[in-house]
Amino acid sequence: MRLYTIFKPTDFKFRFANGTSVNAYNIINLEPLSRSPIYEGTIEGVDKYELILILYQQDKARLARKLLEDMRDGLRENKKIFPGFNQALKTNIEIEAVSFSNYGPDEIYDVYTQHGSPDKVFPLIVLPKVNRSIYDSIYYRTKAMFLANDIPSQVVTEDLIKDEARYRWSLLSISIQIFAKMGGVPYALDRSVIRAEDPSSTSIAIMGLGISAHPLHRRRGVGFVTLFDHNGVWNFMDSKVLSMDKQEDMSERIAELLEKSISKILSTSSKKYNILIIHYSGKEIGRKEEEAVRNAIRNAKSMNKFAAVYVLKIRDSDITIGQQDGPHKAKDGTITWYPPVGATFQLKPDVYAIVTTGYFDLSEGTGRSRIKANIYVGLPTIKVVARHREVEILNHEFNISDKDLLSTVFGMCRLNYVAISNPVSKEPVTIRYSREIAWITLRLIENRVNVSKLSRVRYVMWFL
Amino acid sequence: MGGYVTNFVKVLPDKGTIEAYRIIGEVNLGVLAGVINRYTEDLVASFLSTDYGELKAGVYVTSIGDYHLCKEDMRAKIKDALKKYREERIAQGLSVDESLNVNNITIEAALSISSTTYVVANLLNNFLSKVVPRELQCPRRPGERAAICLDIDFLEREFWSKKVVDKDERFIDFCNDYPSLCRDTGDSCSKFFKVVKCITMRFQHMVSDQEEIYLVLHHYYRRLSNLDLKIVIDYIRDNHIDLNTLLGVRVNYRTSKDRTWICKIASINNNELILECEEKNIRIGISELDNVSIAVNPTYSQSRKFIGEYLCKEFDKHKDLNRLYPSRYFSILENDIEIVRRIIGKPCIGKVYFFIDRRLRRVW
Repeated sequence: MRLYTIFKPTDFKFRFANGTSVNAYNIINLEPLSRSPIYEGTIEGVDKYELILILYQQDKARLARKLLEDMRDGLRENKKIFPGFNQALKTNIEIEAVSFSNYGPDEIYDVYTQHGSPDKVFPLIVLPKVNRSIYDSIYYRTKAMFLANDIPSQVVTEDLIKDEARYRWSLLSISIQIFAKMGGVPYALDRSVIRAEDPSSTSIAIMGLGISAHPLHRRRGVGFVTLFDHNGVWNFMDSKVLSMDKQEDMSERIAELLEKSISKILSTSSKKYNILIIHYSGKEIGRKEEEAVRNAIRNAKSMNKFAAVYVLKIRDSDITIGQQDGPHKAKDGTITWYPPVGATFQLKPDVYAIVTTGYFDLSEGTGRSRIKANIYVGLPTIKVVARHREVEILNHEFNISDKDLLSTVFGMCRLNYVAISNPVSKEPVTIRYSREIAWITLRLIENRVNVSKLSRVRYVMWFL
Repeated sequence: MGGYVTNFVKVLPDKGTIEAYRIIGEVNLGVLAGVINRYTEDLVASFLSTDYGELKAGVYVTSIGDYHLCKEDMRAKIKDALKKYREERIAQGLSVDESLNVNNITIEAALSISSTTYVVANLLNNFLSKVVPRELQCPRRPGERAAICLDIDFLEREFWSKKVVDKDERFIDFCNDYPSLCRDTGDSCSKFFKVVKCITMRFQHMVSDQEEIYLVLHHYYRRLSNLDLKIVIDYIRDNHIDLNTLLGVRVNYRTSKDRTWICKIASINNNELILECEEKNIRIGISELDNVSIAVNPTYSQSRKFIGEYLCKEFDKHKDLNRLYPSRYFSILENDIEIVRRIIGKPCIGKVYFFIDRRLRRVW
């Protein structure tokens, strides 16, 4: 085992419309990167929206009013923290609030449809806090109700609005999520996660590939892909229902999913060389599912149309690493031994351990060091990343090193539209939302909704 | 000392090579390795699905202990293991793979393989499940190779009072604050739960300048549950609690060795209950509960609400024990090395002893 490299968050700056920054908060000054999807020209994006409609239960009028005023005019006590939705994201969208009487997806949706066209009105729904691990919760049922009608939505919990400290720092993140769900691109990485030798003729796509089982019916599951470009710009997603107890069937259906996605990637690329990097998640999958994924990658015939395909398996681990002379201290002065985020250790050829929660210093190089951590207490998160050469395809010799491939994982951990105060998420965005995607997809299928016909939400990050 | 400290402990073999046999044949080799591990006492096996370096694919088998095992004896032991496997499958009404017969396998001549190679780490992992005393083994969570559960009394008796390791864990204060979560105090918490210290371990093959094997140790505190539905129902009846409080509670209904349904209690009275399991309803008499395996699943909200209200209000308190910084974690883990050394001793497979170092691996 040896220290291989340390990826620094400051080496993965964000690109906005008017400049770059290490800090996502600078979206307020530098403006969002794009108001419409970069890869799907037919989707109009943010500018088509005329109204953000806050939907709240009638007894929660006080909370809704607070949210409405803050979204509209900015945080009363400090507009620097949040200047208002339109002011922060340079949009011109009305914000209104309307009540429903009972917490029920049908009623919430009915109230929403009474207030205009889904093309122009974005729903921001205030719901009670529920544990995200509950499949039957009002959260998933409401999200699915809107998605079944091809409408992305944003949920804010009543508890969050009541919790002053968390709420004030969440307003910008909520706005950024809404912006992304409207089809905008808030920001991307300023550098390519891989430095191709000839960028003008090379296109690099990063695909998240995962399998999630149904929480109540273990034989049912969902295979999904998410697609990003080499700067972490969102492209599209797709999913397919799987029979988890039939390996061959699972493999066949994942192969179909890959074929469909590949054809879409290649049809929109004009570059001579197309490289695909697959991040596949082993979070919920055992040996059988893993074999199915590998067979699917081997069997997807159009894989060969790529100049190169690299496959990285990303999984949780029982490895713990502490930095004994680390600079991070807890509030009470205790030296925590947290390691730096991005520290990467080589366990053996092609197998690495990356620290994704630990300490970081975003002010590095500015002369005033400020050590912070993206973990409050507990052990740091270490992800094991294994390069699977046995399923790689190399039709053209590229000089892509292990370090380059690992930087796709770290770079994708930088992209986080949900909690923007956290500069590095513990999982890359490619595989982070497997549960949300799977559970809502399963619910839509149970309600006989053909997911592949949802043309609008397929091209936005509805699962944030 | 500085640098990075890891939860890896170096494993040092006393010889450069171990003696092993490779088995090939037109049988399901993965199942064969499993059968050898489960139904033999002094053999350990590992299945290599593809060639790895100089090692060819196949099942690698070696003896546990410091003695030479000839090919004929090994064949006899495997034959016996396959017989036991077959008898158990038939007794359980399960299908038997007819090709899994000792005549369908070839045991190659004894090999000397590097004692730090990949397959040896796997052999040691499979050896772990045989060497850890059964009474200390605890249910493994996904991804765990071997897990031992140590209750407060065992730690006190075997390690702290004998001053084998320092007595410096918050677990002691925790058990003073919540005795019924740690010991059998006779109240409802101790009837259904016990908080223990869990140490997980697995051997990891690593390659830097040379091949090495490490023992990866990890500890956390966990709650062992005994939420058998029959016991829960008896308890709530004895305490005059309405049976309807169980409505909506999720249970695990184990119908066979390989199959567990997650079901919801849809209806219950003094005579029977109806479980809603994956779109079908199953009716079970209360008197039949002794003969089936049904337990409340504490991960679902409705179950948690029921447990917190009627069985044990503080059933989640052990989570506080896991809220610690790496600095504290590693200080406890240094002690855990000695605990593990005492429990698994010096593993010996294929005539090679593997010594477990006393220090955590540091990396610079």
